Amino acid sequence: MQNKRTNLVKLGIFTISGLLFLVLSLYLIGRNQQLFRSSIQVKTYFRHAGGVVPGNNVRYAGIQAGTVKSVKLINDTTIEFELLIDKEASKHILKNALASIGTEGLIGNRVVNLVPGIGVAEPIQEGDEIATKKTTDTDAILETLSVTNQNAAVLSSELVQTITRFNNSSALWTLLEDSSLAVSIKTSLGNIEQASVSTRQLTEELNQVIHDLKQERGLVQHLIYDTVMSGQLERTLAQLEQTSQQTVTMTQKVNDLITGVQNEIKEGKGPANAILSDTSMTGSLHRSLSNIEKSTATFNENMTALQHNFLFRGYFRKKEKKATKEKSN
Amino acid sequence: MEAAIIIQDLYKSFGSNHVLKGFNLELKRGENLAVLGKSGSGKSVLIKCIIGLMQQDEGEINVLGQSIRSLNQDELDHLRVKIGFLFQSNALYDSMTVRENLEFPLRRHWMEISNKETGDLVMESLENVGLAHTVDLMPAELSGGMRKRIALARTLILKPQIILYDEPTTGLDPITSKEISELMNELQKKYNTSSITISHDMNCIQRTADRVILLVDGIAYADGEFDQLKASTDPVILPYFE
Amino acid sequence: MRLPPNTKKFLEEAGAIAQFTGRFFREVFRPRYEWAAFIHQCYMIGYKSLPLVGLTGFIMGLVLTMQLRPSLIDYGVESELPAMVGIAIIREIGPVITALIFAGKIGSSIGAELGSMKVTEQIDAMEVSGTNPFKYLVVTRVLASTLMLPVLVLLGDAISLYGAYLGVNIKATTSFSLYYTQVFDNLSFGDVIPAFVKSFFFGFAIGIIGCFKGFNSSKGTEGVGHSANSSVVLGSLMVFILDLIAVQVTDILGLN
Repeated sequence: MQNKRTNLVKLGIFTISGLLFLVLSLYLIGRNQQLFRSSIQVKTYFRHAGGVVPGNNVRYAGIQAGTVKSVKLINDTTIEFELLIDKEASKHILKNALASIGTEGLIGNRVVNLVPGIGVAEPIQEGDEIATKKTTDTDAILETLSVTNQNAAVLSSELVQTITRFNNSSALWTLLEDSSLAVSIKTSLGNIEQASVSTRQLTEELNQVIHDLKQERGLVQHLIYDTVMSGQLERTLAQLEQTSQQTVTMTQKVNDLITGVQNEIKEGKGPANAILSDTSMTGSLHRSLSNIEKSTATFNENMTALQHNFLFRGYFRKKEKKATKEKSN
Repeated sequence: MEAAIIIQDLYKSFGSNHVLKGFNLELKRGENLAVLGKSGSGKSVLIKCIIGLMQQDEGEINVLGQSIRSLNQDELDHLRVKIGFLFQSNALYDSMTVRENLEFPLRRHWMEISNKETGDLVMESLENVGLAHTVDLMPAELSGGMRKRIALARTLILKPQIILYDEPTTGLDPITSKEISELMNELQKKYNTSSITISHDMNCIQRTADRVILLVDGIAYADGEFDQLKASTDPVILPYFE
Repeated sequence: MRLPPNTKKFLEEAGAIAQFTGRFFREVFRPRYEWAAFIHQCYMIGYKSLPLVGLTGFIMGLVLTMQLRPSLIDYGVESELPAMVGIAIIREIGPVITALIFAGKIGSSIGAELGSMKVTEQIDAMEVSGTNPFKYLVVTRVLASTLMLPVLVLLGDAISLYGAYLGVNIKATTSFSLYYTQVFDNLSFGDVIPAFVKSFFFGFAIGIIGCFKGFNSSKGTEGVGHSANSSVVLGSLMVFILDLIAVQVTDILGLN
């Protein structure tokens, strides 16, 4: 009898622990799906559902704030989303918040992102409607990026040419012997330095963009939601191109100048020692040259990185193929 | 005195195998009847029909004044309390101790019996078969002869009026067979039961049976005392007594 | 109509099982109820199977995690390992592996036990002793295995998830709270409920097949061996067939 009773106890423990696990897991899941928490319901309208299904998460500034309750087609261009927002989170979400569709990670579930709007407003209430944010199509972004890339390629090859010319130019050294031109050359070099510094800055900005790109997660969202930024990118690259053109022009001018100087030297007028003894000038010359070199190197790196980024791998591969085709033709 | 069991025109077949073809039998109170027959002649089928484990195709079985066929499950269970059945393979429950084996029919049939009474009955039955010391053993720990005795004790624990023995000595050595046969006689006298013994063990039949029925080809071919049949010159009967 | 002997045999068997199942449902609701025997069977079938189920569950969780990791690293989503393992265990591995182990242990033991009881006339003896053997032996066992397998599956899942947690931690470090957050974040009721419900059917199928094979065992020790063997084979097969049906049904119900 005693034995039977212990058996009963064991059976009881066995069964209860099994059922406890069931209840616990159901509770944990339910908690994630906000079933046991009070929430308010708001609506938002999209032109395109983008694969969002009921149960997907709603994030406010990146924090879990609720779930999608339903996705309904209202008419040919409008889809109504009902969002369940946590009471707790709803206190901090203002009526001017903007909704957009995003992805958890690069290949994860779809999420509805809420971002704070500009200015001050009341917290959202039950039944409110949240405005949506215009987003850019990924294809459009890629197209812009391709133009940008072409520009960057041209720019970098020109930069390389420029520097080669700088390095190989014996005329430059001849020029250094002419003291009368020291001041104007100094000014010119100052300009070059400035230009190269700004080139470097621009490259760094570009670097930042590409760094974001490498971070994968940030990029798509950034580019999707931030057309301003892609515009900036384009502008940056345009500036870069301009700079390099200016550099070319400038180099030509320097060339002309040097030819002049050479002629002057032939006539035996040049006190070059004066310039050579001016150490500050030589230093700045050095700096500018190394700046230019550095920036080209970084740019090259960026381009390689861009090519290796898997998002753009396909694009570059296509490009390569095209190039080989053209070559073989 | 009325008869304990009356069987009239019993028919039973399995597919095309007609086992019983108009079998008749009458068991008087206090009588020990032996049914003799070859293996597969339908002896076991006969007693399984009597206890209601099998349904006859045709014919009438009347046990203690009740027709087996007309009983519902509850009535059949009540009747079965009065009939003991000793199985050929003992049918002791492997998963239970000897005590639990003996308690099983008690608990099942007389639900209102107290624990003390149950314990007393168990010990009484075990003492009847001389195995009181095995009460807490498992059937697997017992020898063949002991198991047969335990099975007999379990059969008798309900104090039945009729006992059906299905080949009680099969698989036992001659000495144990003799002991079992003697035990059967002893208990028959003690509780004044009627019995039907199914067997082909002539020694056992000789010791226990008042009357013998020879089952041949599905009918009661011959009916008489052991010595009577033994003396018969009928070529069908002769081989059984050789 | 003439049928090939094998087909006929198969159909006969299917019919007999269906009849047996029908008898189960008739008997299960009719008094009297064999409570004590039922509880005893729950103990024997449920509690006694836990060590085996726990061990296999633990190993499955561990191995699954270790096997999945390289592929996930290839796709650069190693951090999704707990989520993947959790879904695999809860939805499929847990119920099916547990049911198969259960079919092996319980199906064979029911088949062999009832088979030997049949062969040694213990079933007849019960009937003679005023006990409905179908109620006492079959109903209690089928009910116990129907009710105990889901509990075993749940506990097996829990142990398996713990095994997977250790597996995750072999080559990386994840805190337990992060692990279970990741596991349960990616689960939904649609994962847990169908898996839980189908384990009842698994348990029922294994119990009823074991009982059928044992109850209809042919005479002799060979018959007992055959009952034990065929109840495992048929039971395991039924687990997969039911699993197939379950996935279709959950799909139709939109729970996937």
